[in-house]
Amino acid sequence: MLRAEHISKQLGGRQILDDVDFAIAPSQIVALLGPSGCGKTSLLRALSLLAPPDSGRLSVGERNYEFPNGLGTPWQTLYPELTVVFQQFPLWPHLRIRHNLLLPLELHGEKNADGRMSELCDELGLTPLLHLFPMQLSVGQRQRAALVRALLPQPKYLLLDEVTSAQDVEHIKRMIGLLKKSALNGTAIVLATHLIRFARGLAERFYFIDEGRIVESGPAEGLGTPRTERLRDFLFVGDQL
Amino acid sequence: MSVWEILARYHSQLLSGLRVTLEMCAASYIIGLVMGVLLGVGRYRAGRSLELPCRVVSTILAALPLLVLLFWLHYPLQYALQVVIKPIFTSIAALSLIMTFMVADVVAHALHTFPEDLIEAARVAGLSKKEAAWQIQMPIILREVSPHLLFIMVVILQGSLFTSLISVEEIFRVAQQINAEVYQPVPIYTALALFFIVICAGLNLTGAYLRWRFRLKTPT
Repeated sequence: MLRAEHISKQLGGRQILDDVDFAIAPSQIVALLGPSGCGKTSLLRALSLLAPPDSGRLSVGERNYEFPNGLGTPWQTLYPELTVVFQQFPLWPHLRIRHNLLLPLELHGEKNADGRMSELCDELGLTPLLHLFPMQLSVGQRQRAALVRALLPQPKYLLLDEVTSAQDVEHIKRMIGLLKKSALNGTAIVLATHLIRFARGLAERFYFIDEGRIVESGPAEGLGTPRTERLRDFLFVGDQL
Repeated sequence: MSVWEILARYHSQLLSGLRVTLEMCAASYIIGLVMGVLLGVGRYRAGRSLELPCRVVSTILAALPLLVLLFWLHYPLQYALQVVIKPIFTSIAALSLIMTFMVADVVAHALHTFPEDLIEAARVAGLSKKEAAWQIQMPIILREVSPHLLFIMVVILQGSLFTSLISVEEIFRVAQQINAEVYQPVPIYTALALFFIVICAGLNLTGAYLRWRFRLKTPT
């Protein structure tokens, strides 16, 4: 279980997360919805310990963190239990795609991930690109490569931040298939997105976040009958797109 | 006299001067690179406490003509300290000092502007701090700074001509001596230029090659 309780964070004097409660169970897919700048990325950064919260509690499987002072050292990593794909999906520019994908596993002593990598790359149309450098790929291809890198260690928790922002319809469909398959294999997926249809097509639960607060949450079917006006407005605009 | 006649007649003197130039530059490159990298990393790590004084010194050195620096180090400073240092060592000290601050500027800038998201990507991919530094940060920075370092080497090589002022027997001084003997400035200095063109072209071409080679590997 990945659970955050009463998570708060300030940045530059602004409250970017305000008493946020969040939980996701194994194999679950949860959509994190909200307008741009509402705190979706900040929450993912807090959950992945990249930008630990100022206060609150965080549990990742067996590991528990209490903030402030929850981390022993500032350089904490939850890999391979938890992996992340952020919006910028940075691949390391000096390494070929194959090496970008395999380096983290190799450094963790796993030398036989080639088969798994080929399988994932085949599904996302990346196999012919493995010998290239990131700058030789389109933005969408780089985004998919970053997703493969995050899926390769078969994480228990996968955090995805606007992972479809540079994808065409065909690749979004392939991604949905791949993410559903990963969830069936036990991976819990948090999907930060502003694409309502993508969220509806994939998630079982949703959290709607606005100005750093969880405004509404519940089963994904609830997106059809929003309880708050704020979510209703958001969905209305989203459905027009 | 043609350039070729000058080269044929005085090649041993010119090569001897060139050897001194290259030895002096090589020593300055080694000292300047080591000290410059250390200072650049130090500036980055220490933050403002070291950054500001280094910038002040760097700005002064950039504005100060090498000729004046050599003169100060060789005459007034040695007189004040009551020491006599061989001109070649004074020259190496001056060239190393300039190179140190130029290299430190390049290294500190590369570290300051290194894309933070590449480090974060390493962190979420489970790399330790040391692995991220060796596998990600260092190779990218090395690629970025290499062409700049080669350019600095060219600048130092050209600056080494001024060491003739304090009687270092380098190639320019040898050329001056030959000219005093035969008074043929055009072919003599053209011959001198040929040596520099060959060496600088080598460094510049290496820089251009590195820029081309790393074109695809440069972060946007």
